[in-house]
Amino acid sequence: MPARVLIVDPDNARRGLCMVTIPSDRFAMIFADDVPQAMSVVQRGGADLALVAGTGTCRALRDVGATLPILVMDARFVDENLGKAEVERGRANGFLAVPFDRDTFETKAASALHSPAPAAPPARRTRSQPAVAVTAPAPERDPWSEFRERVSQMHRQLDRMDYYQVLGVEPAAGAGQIKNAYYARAMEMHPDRFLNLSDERLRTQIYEVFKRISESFKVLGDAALRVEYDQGLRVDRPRYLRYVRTERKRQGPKDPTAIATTADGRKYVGLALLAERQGNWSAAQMHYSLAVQAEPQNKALKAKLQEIRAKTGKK
Amino acid sequence: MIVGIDLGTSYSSVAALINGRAVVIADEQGRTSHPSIIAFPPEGAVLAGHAARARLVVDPLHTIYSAKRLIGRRSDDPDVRAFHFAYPFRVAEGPNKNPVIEIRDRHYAIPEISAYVLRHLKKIAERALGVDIERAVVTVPANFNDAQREATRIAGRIAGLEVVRIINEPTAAALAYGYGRGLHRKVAIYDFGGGTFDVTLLEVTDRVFRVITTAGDMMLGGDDFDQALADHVHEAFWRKTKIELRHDMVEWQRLLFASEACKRELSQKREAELRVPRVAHIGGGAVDLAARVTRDIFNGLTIELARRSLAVCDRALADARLSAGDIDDVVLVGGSTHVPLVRAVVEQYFRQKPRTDVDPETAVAVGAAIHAATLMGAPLPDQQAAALLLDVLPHSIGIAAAGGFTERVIDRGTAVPVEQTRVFATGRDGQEEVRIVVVQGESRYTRENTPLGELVVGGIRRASRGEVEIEVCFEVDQSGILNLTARDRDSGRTHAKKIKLSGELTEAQIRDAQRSQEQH
Repeated sequence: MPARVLIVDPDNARRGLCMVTIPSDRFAMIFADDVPQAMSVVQRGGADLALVAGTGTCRALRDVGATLPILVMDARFVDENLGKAEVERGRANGFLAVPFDRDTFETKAASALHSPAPAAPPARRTRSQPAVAVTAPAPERDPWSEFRERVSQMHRQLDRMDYYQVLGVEPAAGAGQIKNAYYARAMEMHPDRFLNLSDERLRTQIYEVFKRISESFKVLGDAALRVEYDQGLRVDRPRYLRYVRTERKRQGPKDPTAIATTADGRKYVGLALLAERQGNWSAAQMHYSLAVQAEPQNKALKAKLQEIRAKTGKK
Repeated sequence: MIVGIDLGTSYSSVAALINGRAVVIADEQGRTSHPSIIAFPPEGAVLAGHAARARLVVDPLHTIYSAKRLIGRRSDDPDVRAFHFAYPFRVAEGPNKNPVIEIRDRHYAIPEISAYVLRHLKKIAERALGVDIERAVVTVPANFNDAQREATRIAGRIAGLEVVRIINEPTAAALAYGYGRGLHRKVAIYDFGGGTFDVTLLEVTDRVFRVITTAGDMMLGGDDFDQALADHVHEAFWRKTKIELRHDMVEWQRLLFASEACKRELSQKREAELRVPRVAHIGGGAVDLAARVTRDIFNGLTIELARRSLAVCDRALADARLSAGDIDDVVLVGGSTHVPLVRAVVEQYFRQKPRTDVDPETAVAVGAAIHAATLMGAPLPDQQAAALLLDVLPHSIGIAAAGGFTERVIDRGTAVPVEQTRVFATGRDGQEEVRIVVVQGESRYTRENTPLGELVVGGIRRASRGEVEIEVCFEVDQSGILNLTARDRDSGRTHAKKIKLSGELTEAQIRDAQRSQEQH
């Protein structure tokens, strides 16, 4: 009859190590994440030995009345003196340095197990699996011309449609409905299905439409984004038809550090500019010379350094 | 004819759909996994696959492996720098800040090396199927960025293959697992390959495979297991003999080989012998390196590597706002998932036995072949699609803004294909061009993200500031590759052009490379 080892450790890597190290023909393993889980096993007499990660957990088990033999494990126990001290502190029966090998475990387990009382092996825990079912709804069966017409109509109206219209759902649709609609649209119009289509115009239209379909799902499929999007629609529908709207951005010499081209160069130029603004010319000179060191080829930087040198010279 | 290719860091395979069934294509010796290794012997043709692997211990300076770890990266990438020292062959800096491999007096760009691997696979498929292979679906790690994907596509072109689509390895594995089975569940693909690790969460239904999220560690792979074992054995050897093997590339490579073999054996047995005969000479006598390694010792050496993979799983689940218990099936992909410790750690993490009904070594190639067949299917409006992939962008795309900050344009995790338009106005009077630096990554700071390239729109009419507007459309296609279209909105005069950013090789260079490979 195998001895039942209760492994109390939330760390999955160490749990895996236990699984592959402890011989399963002589030990049955039960895993627990924490003290309450472990105690529910201990109280119904389901374990002969506990293997516990950390002295704290071991003490906690003793404090709530666990009397079974306990081995405490920790990577630091390669230092045997520390191991012995911690056994004392945690009121354990032995210690194990992680990672351990099979022989060490068996020796330590044997000495910790005072009374190998025969008992029924623990019940195997099985995991309930959801039933296999439900295929996605089949798309409507349309001949080519109808399909072509539908695609080009959608393509024409793309910039006037909101995301609900793109997916073909009601604004009150639930999350499940939205996902189903997205899947149905994907099955109908995913561009991967039309890679070999000779009609290039139709192919482009399908691609454009599908990009909008996935954009729609990105927003409507995310509860937080959907709330934001709905608000926008209520405020100004034409303007907020698309959640990610085009943004204006000024491009120009707004970044004064742009005379440098490398990250380091920019950093020093930034510092130099700051020093200049504070009137600290020697610091500015230092940062510019560092920038020149970072980019020895940069003529603009050299000119700047000369300029600053002239200034410091005057002062 | 079209095939699916799993272009791996250490091993590659090729599959095709034959009579409605996806089959992995074997070479004449019946092998389905081919080392991603290329050898340049002093005379004769370039070798690939098993033949090249044999050269690794004879001529490490001219035998190239793990090129995938370098593809599409820049020389100043710290990970690339690290490899300069790790590889026995010479990695130099190329003209466009990209790493190149130096073989005698010639420089090879990384896509050229990968092209030799692809060409080898193409030949295997052509010999087995008796038809010409012109097209392929090639897989890449889910977290490959734009530059790495583009470089992989270029490798295909040099190999004489039209890469019709690049798909993510875990997505391909999910196809191999769920295709035609009428499932409806949440699936985690735990992909521990030779050079990379990633985990991808998908929602799998009968006809739609939707990626929820993906996370990875580009610098964690099965090679690290070999390395850990080699370090351990070497240390014991050094203590005994005071012979340092690390400086001898040939012997160190032989030790790595022996470590890999030992690792494989330990997946079957509790104890294995690691032996490198005649590893060194002392006073005229040859010394062997021999060690007995137990599985327990190996587990102790590799537990931290397994733990790192779980940290990635944590990230993926948090990102999807799911917990481990929400996952219905866990599918193992990649050779490293044969390691018992890895399996046990995964079982503990997801609290269920991982599925074993797909072959971890070939699932990716099989999935690529299934997708290839879907893409090549006749387009019919009323026909149900075979299986559609809805994949996501692995890293955000942004532009460099003032003050060294990055402004996001498209967020990571967005379903592809996707587009986003930005309007840029001139900021200076008489400005003649607009420059936009495009980067990929999650950092707020531009210098911490991966530069993809610079878009320059020139020939702008001279006008006062803000008057001219340039509309830039950022579009990511189903391969995860970014295309830029710039349009000058100035006074009705609109001209659109496609701009390719991350091309480390020019069109002419690609054609030259292709021609030179065909001559051999």
